[in-house]
Amino acid sequence: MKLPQDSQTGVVVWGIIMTAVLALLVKVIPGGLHGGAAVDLVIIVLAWLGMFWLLRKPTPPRT
Amino acid sequence: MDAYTLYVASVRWIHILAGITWIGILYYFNFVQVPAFAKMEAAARTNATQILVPRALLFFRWGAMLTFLAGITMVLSYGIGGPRAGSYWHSAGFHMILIGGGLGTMMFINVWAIIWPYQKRIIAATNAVAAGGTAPADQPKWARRAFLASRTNTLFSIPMVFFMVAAPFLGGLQG
Repeated sequence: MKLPQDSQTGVVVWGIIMTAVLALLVKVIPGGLHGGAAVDLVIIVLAWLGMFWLLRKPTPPRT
Repeated sequence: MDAYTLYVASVRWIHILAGITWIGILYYFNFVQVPAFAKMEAAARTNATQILVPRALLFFRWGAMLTFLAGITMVLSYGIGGPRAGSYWHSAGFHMILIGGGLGTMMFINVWAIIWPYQKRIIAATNAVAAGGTAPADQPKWARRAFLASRTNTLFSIPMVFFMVAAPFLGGLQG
């Protein structure tokens, strides 16, 4: 299975998308992340769990 | 200029210098070394893995360590001491830094818990093969995991730098 991490362009594009999404969340969540550090931490933990999910997926060796 | 201002500026300077070292080498690995290794002959790749990669990893992982420690020191210094003590924890700047710092912390853990341990095994295996031994069956798996963690760090570095830079300059983003 190909992951975004397998492509240099994919990494940059997803990095920019993640930046935009996080910036939007800061802006649009009621009260923004300024309203509570808990929201920040939930987003960060979700991102971290997502990374481990990607790392645990059975994938072919890199060539 | 008071001693506190000089202290915080010094820690910030160290944080940024170490961060440049860490992320610079991360980008070197991802945008230069990985594609170059894919095109190099096996002997040249082995030579580079034995000589170049360990040196790059030395600056890479200790750059990550210094960046992390200086970053934590800076946040604690703002929150506990100085003119904004206490109120800093409720500021927009802190919440921006919390996002950037949270991503940076995950990247730091990736370096020390995934990338470096697997790279150590890969270097040892490369040395063993160069000495006439055989490559471990798990070596492709180690390379894959180190690669994915490194690429994930490259992905995270983009929002991480945004929120690190956004904290002082884009406070209005949370309007």
